[in-house]
Amino acid sequence: MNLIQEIIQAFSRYEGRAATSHYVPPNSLITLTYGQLEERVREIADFLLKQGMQPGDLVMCYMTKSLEMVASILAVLLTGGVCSSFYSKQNPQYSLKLFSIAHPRFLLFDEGTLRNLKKSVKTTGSDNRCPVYMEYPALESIEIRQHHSSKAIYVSKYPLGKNDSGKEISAIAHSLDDAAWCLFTSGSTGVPKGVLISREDLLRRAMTEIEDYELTDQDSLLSLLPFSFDVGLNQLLSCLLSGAHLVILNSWFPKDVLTTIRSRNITGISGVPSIWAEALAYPKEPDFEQNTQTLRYVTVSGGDLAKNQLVELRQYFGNSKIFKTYGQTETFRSSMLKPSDFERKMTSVGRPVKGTQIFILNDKGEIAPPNIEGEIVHHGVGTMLGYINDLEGTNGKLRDIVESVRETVNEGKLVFTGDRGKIDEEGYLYVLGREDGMIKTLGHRVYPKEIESCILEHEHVKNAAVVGVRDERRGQMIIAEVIGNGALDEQRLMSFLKERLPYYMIPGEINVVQHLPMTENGKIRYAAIKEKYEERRILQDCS
Amino acid sequence: MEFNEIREVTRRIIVEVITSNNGVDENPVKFENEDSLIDGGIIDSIAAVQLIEECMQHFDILIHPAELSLENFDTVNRICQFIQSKLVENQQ
Repeated sequence: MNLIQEIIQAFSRYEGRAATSHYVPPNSLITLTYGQLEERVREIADFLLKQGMQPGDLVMCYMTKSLEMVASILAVLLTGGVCSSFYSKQNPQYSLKLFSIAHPRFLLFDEGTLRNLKKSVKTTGSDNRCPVYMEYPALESIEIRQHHSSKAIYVSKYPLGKNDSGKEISAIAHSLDDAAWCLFTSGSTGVPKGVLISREDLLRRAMTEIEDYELTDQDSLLSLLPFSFDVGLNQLLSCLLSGAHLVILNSWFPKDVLTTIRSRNITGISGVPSIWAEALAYPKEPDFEQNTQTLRYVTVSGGDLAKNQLVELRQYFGNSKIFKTYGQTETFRSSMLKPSDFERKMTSVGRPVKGTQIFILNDKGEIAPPNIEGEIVHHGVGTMLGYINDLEGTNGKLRDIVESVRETVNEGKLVFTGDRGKIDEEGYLYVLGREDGMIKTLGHRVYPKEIESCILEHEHVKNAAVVGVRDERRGQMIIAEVIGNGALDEQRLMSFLKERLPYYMIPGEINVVQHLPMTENGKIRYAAIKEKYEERRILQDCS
Repeated sequence: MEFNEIREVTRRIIVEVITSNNGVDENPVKFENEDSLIDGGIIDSIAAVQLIEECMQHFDILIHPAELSLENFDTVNRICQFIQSKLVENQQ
């Protein structure tokens, strides 16, 4: 069965059961059953078809996470469209940039995002500096679709045959036929890329998650992550396909998370490191164990925690299983550390998930021996179709099978992740860091993570980010930005590091800051920090 | 401090936080005092933490992690009521 058939079957199989809720603690809860959800989905799907939507059309959902958004996403999938959602709190200029990269045929809004965008279109239109945005004035002829709730879904149609980058589009147009989803990733260059995922792969990802997390119709999962993030999206799909109940909470405050676990009997949470780092800083209430007794599992996805934080997390959720996952938007989930291996291998990201293979390739493209580092290369489930309207980028990331791995795999493509890592004798993967984040200093190669995890061991440190900035004497100088708890002393931290790290890993500079620049998925934006210091260096050179 | 005065300052802090996250925009985001800021998608949890730190500094109040919740921080009015109660506590 394909993805659409599976979804339709879930609607009727679980008809009277709760499918999804939007919870605003302490006491606002709206729930849709599978039957009610199907009704809404079909209504939006009919509407889209009446608007002239065809299979393979790209539809972008620019919405705040809500029940309406769930229904809209499913309606697009049901009508055979390619759905794309992106972060609703993204600034409007960035949203417009995404439209111009992906050229959607339809845009779906809610009241808030439409208000945001209209304002911005007017701005760019009036000064004429960004002509490309002017291709979307269709906002004036907006069709309004009122729904049962007070929230409306607005549709804007982009006329066919008006793509200005025609050549590139035809070159990968074949992939849109198989595609079901387009996720945006910021990419190391800062130019967003639209990652296309096939219908088949989307289904396989969900099925694998159902198996790994042992999801059933008895589960209630807490949705904290945006659907524009692969982990959040896969939680939604695997939840619905298993008949479970997805509870949407638009808050990462530990208190709200705990209230939701208790009052909605949550059994599983997919989380990112910054959610858990916040939770660990929140003192446990005396009845914590009682209140979280339904919680079967939590995941650490989209990044890693330092070792001491992992130990703390293990103690914090003493009665729940912890899954760690590793992957990129281009590969989804490459590996998983299962709960049974957690104690023994917590600093690894586990072993390849079902249907995937991972290789560590050295600079010559040969398979590296155990414990020797190289580039992490992914094959199998999760592999993207390519980047939307970007053939060159696609060919750089997605490559033909190389000779050295042909013994293991001979079909499909390899994703060159740009991540450095190593695999131990038992097959567990360790991620060292980004190839482009590696710091070359005093003749050594250093990964920010090695230094950060040591800084995070200091009792007065809440968070830390390490970057390398060009330096004539050292090659690169290590700079650490650190968030303290108020009692942090830079000199003391420096001595602390000197006792624990080799000389070449000692930061040349430690700066205590109030905030670190973060992405919507809670990841540190290293490029922004690096840029700040590079600019400062240039200014110093000039003066 | 009068409620209206607290509200004026709080609104200014919110606009600053949004601007620092979204970049400078000629037309800053509009929001009503009863609009849901976090659940409604005007600011995210990360920006919310920033907002709360700014409030702590500006009003010279201490906010405990256990007080961070949608119930206290989801609308301008709720934030202001919370700050006011903290200021009263400080005086006592």
